[in-house]
Amino acid sequence: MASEAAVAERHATPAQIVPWWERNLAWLLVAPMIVMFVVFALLPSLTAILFAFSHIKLTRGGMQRTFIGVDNFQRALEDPIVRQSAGITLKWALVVTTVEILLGLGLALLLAHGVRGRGVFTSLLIIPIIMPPVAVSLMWFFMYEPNFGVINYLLNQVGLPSVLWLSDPNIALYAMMAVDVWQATPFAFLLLYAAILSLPRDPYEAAAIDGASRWHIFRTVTLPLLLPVLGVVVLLRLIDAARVFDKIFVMTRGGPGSSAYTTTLTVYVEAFNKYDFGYASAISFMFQVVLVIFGTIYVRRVMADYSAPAES
Amino acid sequence: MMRLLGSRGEGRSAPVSFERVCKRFGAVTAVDDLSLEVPNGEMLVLLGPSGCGKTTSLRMLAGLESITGGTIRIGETVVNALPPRARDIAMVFQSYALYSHLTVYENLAYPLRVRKLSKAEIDHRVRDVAQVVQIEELLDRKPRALSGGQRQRVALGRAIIRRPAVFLMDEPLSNLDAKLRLHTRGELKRFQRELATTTIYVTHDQAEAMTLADRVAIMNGGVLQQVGPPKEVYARPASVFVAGFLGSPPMNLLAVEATSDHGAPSLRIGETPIPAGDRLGASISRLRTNGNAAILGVRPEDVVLHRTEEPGSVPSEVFVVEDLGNERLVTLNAAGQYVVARVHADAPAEMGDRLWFAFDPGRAHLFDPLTERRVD
Ligand SMILES: Nc1ncnc2c1ncn2[C@@H]1O[C@H](COP(=O)(O)OP(=O)(O)OP(=O)(O)O)[C@@H](O)[C@H]1O
Ligand SMILES: [Mg+2]
Repeated sequence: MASEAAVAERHATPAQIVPWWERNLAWLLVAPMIVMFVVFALLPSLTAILFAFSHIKLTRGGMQRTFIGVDNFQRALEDPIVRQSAGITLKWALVVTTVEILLGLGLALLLAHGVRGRGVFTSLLIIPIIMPPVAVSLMWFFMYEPNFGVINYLLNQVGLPSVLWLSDPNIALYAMMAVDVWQATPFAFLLLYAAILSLPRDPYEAAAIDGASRWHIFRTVTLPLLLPVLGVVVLLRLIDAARVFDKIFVMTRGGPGSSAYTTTLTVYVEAFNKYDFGYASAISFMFQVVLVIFGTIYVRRVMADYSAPAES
Repeated sequence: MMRLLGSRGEGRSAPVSFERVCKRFGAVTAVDDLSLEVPNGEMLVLLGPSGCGKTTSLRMLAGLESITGGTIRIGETVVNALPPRARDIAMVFQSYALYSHLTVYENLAYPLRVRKLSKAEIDHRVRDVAQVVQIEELLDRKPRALSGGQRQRVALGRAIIRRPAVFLMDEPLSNLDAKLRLHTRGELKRFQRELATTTIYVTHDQAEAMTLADRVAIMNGGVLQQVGPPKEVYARPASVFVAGFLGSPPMNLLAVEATSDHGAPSLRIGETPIPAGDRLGASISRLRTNGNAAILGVRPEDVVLHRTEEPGSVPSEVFVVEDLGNERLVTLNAAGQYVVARVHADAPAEMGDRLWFAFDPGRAHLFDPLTERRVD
C-alpha cells in the first residue's frame, strides 16, 4: 500500500515531507487580514489617541505636534456644539432604531403568517440593503428636491403644498431619518423574519390548546422567544445609527445650519474644515469610548439573560 | 389532593366520536377510516406500535391537524373546522411542548391565566397540581433546567390543571423511571376516575394500557384493529396483529393444518395430529379457506412442556432459555416454527434439550390466514 507508506513516512519526518508553506498555512491565510488591520485600523487608532492629547499645527510639508495633556477633552466637554451634536446623535439613534424595529417586526410577523407573494416581497426588501449609502442618499436628495423632486410633485398632485424637506431646520433631520428607516428597516425585518420562522412550533400548539388568543400568544410566546434576537437587532441598529455620517453629509452637510450636526459630522468639521486634528481626535475618541461602554453594559444587562447557563 | 382537584361536577366532560376519519400526508395515509365512540367519562387508551397513527389521531381531535375525511365530534358538536381553543380540551404533548421562556410555575399557570382566574385561585391550583405530579421543588426553574422526566411531569401538570371536556394524553409517562411511572400511573387513574372526564390516552406500553384503560383501542398502520375492555382484547384478540402485539411475550402464532372435510374437525402441527376438542373443533368448522392452512394462537403461559412424548404433544428442541427470576421463558424450535413457553422458574430445560410441548386446545385461538381475523 503505497499511500499507507506515505502516511507513515509523513508521520516519521514531518518537517521534510510537509513543505514550509503548508506548516504555516493558517498564518499565511490570515496574514493579509492582519496587515490590513494593522495598517488601516490599529495604526490610525493609535495615532488618533496620540493626536487626542496633542495640539496639531499643519505646517508647510508636515505638521507640528505639541503634547497638551487632556486639554482637548476638557474643551470638548464644554463645547456647546459637541453637546448639541451628542443630543442630536442620541435622538437620531433612538428614533430610527425604534421605528425600524417596529416596522421590521410588523412586516416580519405579517409575512411569517403566510401572506401571498412573500418571496417577491423579501427579494424587494433586500434592495435597500445592498445599495451603497451614498447612492441612497443621492437618490433621496433628488427625491426631496423642493422644485423638481418627485415627493413634492406627488404632494402637489393631491393638492398639498410643497415642503422644504432638506432646508427647513424643523424638518430636515426627520426627512433624513426617514431615509435611514427606508434603508435599514429591511435589515431588522430580515433578522426578525428569520428568527420568527425558526421559532419552535410546539409552544404555539400548546398555547392554542390552552385557549390563548392570537394577541395573547404574541405577547406571551412570540415576543419572549424573540427577545434574544430582538436584543441583538436593537444593539446593532443603535450602534450603527449612532455612527451615521454619509446620509447627512451627502444630503445637507449637517445643515441647515448646524441643525443636523451629529457627533460624526462635528468631528468631520473640526478635522477637515478647521484642520484641528487634535481636537477632532479627542471628540472621536470620547465618542468611541461612550459607544463601547454603552455596548458593554447593554450586552451584560440586556442580553445576559439569554446566554447565561440555566439557573438552578 | 383529589378533593381539591376533582370537585365533582365542575368539569363538563363530553363524549368523543370519530366517524370514518382519514388523514393523509401526501401519499402517506396516517389514519385510515377510523370510527370510534368514546362515551362520556371513559378512559380510552390508544395502543399501537410506533408510527401507527396514534399521535395523528389525537392531533386531529385537538384541532392541530386538519382532517382529510370524516367527522369528529366532541359532545354534540362537529369540531372538524373548530380551532383548538374552541374545543375545550387539554393535552399532554409527546414532545412536552413546554413554554421554554417561562418557569415551571408559569407553565402550569398559563392555561389558568388565559382564563383570567384570580391570582389566589391560580396559586392554589398550581401548588396543588405540582404536588400531584411531584414537581413542587421545581416550580422556579425553567424547562431547560429539567430532566426529561421532570419536563414530562410539568406537561402532565399543565394539562390536568384545567377541567376540560376531554383530556388528551400522548405518552405522558414514557420518560419516567419505572418507580415514578407506576406511582404516577396510579395517581392518574384515580384522578381520572375522580374527575370522570373523558380521556384519550396514547401509549405503546401495553402494561400501561391494560392498567389504565376502561377500553383499549389497538391500531396498526393507521387502521383500528380492535376496541374493547383490556381483559377482552387479551382473551379474545380479534386479529393476528392484536394477538401478536399483546402480552409479554406475545401469543405464539403457529402455521397449522386445519380440516373439517368429513364433518370431523382435525388439526395438525407439522406431522403431529392434535385432538381439537369441542370449542376449537367448532372454530375449525367455521374456517372458510380454500386449502387447509390456518393460524393457531397459543399464549406462552398455556404451553406445557413434557420430557417424553405424550399424545397430542409436538416434538421440539430447546432453542434458548431466558430466566426472569420468578419464571423462565423457554423458546422451542418445532420443525422451524418457534414457540415460547412461560414456565416455572425451576422447570428443567437446557439449550439443545429435546422436549415435547402441548397445550389445551380449548384455550387456543384460531385465525384465518388470509384475512388474519379471528375465527370463533
Ligand atoms: N406531518 C407529517 N407529515 C408526513 N407524515 C407524517 C406527519 N406526521 C405523521 N406522519 C406519518 O404518519 C404516520 C403516523 O404518525 P404518528 O405520529 O401518528 O404515529 P404514532 O402512532 O404517534 O407513533 P409513535 O408511537 O412513534 O409516536 C407515520 O407514518 C408518520 O411518518
Ligand atoms: Mg406519537
